[in-house]
Amino acid sequence: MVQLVLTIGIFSWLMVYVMISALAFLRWPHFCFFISHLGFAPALLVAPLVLVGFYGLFSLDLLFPSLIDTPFYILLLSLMAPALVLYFSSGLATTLANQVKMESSYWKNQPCTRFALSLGAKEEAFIRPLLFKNTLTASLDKALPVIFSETLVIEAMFNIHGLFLLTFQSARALDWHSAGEGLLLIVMVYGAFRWTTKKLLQSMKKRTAGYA
Amino acid sequence: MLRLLSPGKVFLCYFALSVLCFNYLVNLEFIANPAVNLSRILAPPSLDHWLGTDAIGRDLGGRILKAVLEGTLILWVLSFLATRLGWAMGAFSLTSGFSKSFMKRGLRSFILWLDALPSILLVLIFVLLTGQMDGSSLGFGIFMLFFCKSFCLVDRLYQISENKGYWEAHKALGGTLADRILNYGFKSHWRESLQKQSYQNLQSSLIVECGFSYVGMGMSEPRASLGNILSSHFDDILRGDYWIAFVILTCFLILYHLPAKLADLSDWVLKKDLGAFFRQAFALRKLFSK
Repeated sequence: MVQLVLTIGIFSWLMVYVMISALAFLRWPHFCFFISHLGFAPALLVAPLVLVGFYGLFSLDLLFPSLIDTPFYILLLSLMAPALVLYFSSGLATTLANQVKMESSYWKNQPCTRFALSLGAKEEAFIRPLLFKNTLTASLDKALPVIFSETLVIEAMFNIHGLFLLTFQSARALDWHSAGEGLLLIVMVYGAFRWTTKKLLQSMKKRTAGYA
Repeated sequence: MLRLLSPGKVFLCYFALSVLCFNYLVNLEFIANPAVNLSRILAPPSLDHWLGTDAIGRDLGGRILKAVLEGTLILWVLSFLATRLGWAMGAFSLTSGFSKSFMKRGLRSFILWLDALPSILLVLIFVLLTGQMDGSSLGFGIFMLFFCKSFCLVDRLYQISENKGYWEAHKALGGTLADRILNYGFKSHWRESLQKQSYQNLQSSLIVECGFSYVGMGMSEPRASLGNILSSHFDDILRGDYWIAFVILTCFLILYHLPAKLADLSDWVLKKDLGAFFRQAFALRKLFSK
């Protein structure tokens, strides 16, 4: 159960980063241009660089602390760095930036936007809420398989005994029962995320169908 | 010379040359059996050891070359074959009458369902099915992963193309589905997507293999992989020995970008039409000799 909580903790921080960056991209579009050129770098490459860089430059140990004697809020804070690495290494940052660029150029030329502008509404105030929901769901839907693939490497690198690492360690030890359970839980979590994003996308599509 | 430039023969030449080089390199002593030397642990680069030594004094360059030759290259060949087999089976499942009954409802739906899973989970499922945790089971997992992905790509491309005007016109004129898939699909507008998938699979195979080896499920010592070299030196890296991290991560970066760059290069060579250049040169030579 603790393993599941840790993995969900990483995903929760990831969602926080996604929301903050989506707001930032919409508020300052030049960020999009910068981030969209970063591209995609695998976690196996980014995680050691972040670990070593933070330790070398700021003497900050980003490895996950022991579960036994560490307060809960420190455990929660310790998941911030792995989630940030996951955010960049899963390509979510780049996907989000590209999606914001694409969607904003699309919606700016739509008749509904021009109509709203003619009535005196501000362009940002009209488009921003629409873009926020659209880009968030679309980019999450695109990056979800990579997020789940990269979480294993992130957990192994940062020594987080989450669901992925536990499942792989059980499989390595040929403990079929634990490995099967872990795998089933991962597939269920993935299915839940996938189902939610699909439903959100469908509802967004329905809602915006009349706009264009 | 002109005939040599046809893509099939160029590929055969590459392949023969690679096999020769592979055979030569794999049998080199410092790659096949790197000597353990505990008096030279984590030594810096020198004339004897260009990239230094690892935690038990073995030549790091030899280990990395061994990882590339015995891990990455073999997986690339596997993923190349799996991709082609997936495309062929995808086309077969669409064209054969067999597809309409059993395959379409059962096996095909199962493969499409598998494709929806993240790569690492899919490989883990196949590795668990083999009941072993070694390099060969990882190879099987990666082969099946790319087989499923390629199969599904052909299926998806077909769903997009089947309602296009010229596909329907060909059907109305009595053309067969196999002809359409081969001529309008594989040889025409599917080509770019298939090529893109082909090199993306090579990149993915590297990521999956290194990830699995890092957690100890793929290649394990004494076999070499970039993942297990990084994992076995992770404590040294955290203690401040950054050289090994630099070497491994640089190799990883080069190997990761190599397939895409090779694809760009082959596109550039094809666009330059070197065949036409040589044809003109021969024609001019004939003209002057007369």
